[in-house]
Amino acid sequence: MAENDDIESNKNSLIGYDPLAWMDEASEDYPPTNAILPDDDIAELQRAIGVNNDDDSSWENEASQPEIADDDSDSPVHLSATLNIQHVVALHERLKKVLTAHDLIEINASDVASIDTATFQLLVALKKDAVKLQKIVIFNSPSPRFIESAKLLGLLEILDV
Amino acid sequence: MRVVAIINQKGGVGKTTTSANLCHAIAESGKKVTVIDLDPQGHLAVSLGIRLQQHGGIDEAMRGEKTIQEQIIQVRHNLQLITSGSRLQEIEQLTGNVSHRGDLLKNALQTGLDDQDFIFIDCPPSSGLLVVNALFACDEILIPMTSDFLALQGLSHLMGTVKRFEKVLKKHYTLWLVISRYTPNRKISKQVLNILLSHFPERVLATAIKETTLLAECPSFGKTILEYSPESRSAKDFRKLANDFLEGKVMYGRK
Repeated sequence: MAENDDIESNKNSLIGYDPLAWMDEASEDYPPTNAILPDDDIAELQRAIGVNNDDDSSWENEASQPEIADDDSDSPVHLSATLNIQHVVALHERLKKVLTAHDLIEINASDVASIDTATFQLLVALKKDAVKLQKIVIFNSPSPRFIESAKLLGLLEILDV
Repeated sequence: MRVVAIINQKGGVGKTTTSANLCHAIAESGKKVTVIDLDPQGHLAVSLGIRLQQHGGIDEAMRGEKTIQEQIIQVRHNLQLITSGSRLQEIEQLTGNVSHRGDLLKNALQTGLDDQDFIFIDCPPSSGLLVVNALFACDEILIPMTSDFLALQGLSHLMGTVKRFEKVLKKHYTLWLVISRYTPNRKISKQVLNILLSHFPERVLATAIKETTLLAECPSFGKTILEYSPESRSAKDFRKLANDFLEGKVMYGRK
């Protein structure tokens, strides 16, 4: 922090603040990153990639929920061809809305050509929360890639595909 | 054998320029160098004069379809290149177990390069799976840095990534910073450099690579600066930088 203070107190400085100041502190509160980390400790991995799959991450625990257009609550939900972490937030919001609005949630996975673990975490969480709420989630016409990826991750049974 | 990833998630900081010219300069000094183009854009290969990339590169080796030896192109004396290959981008899209996907490059490098002194990995300007593979495979990280505020901001994010990797993998990377595209007459350049020296004491290589038009020109001719203008200041900068890297010569600043 001393370096940061030096910068801010120096009127001749052309740098408003020091983005690296956190490195001087013995903290593990690292700045955010989008990197995916290889790890055999899945909890650490999830934390590192900004996706929390713990039980306390259920849909109801969201502190704030952005507004979503009404038609976003329509079921079936049609999954796009490429599903990765960049799309998780939007998909999460969409699925929350659908889960609230319907007792039967249909998800069309026929076009899925690429899907990452972050998206699968989301779908597993949806399935679990639907069970708690006595609602049903069905995956319609899952693509071969969707099935293959779910199989690789051992999620065929929990997703019921 | 030292495995060095040339990384900066920010674009335009001189990763590929540093990769091509530093690797050539180290190779000229007599060391055996293999440089891997891990950026799907394939600019490193172009910079080294390989324009037709009809055959595969590191993409096929990472997929286990070819061995590393099969992908090697001898581009200069003591300098080997492994191109990105046309399907490298697809690796970012691979699904499956994340831990396993992070191993692809490390596994590909297990055999076939034992006679090399250095393996350099020219990384893409991103923080996706390819960079994960590079961080998994390397022991040293070389970070080209421009001397502007946004580069500091980008470095902060990169260091967050590196710290996480160190914690998860229980390893400690040897860090090197290279000041690239340096414009010594700008006041902010010196201030950025001072900040870097305060946070990375004895990790900033002694020679700053100054911004010159020659460095921008040589890739289109498929030549490194050592060939394009061997007596230029930029060529001398890179020869000195290679010596810094080999001998661990660094800048000293206040802490």
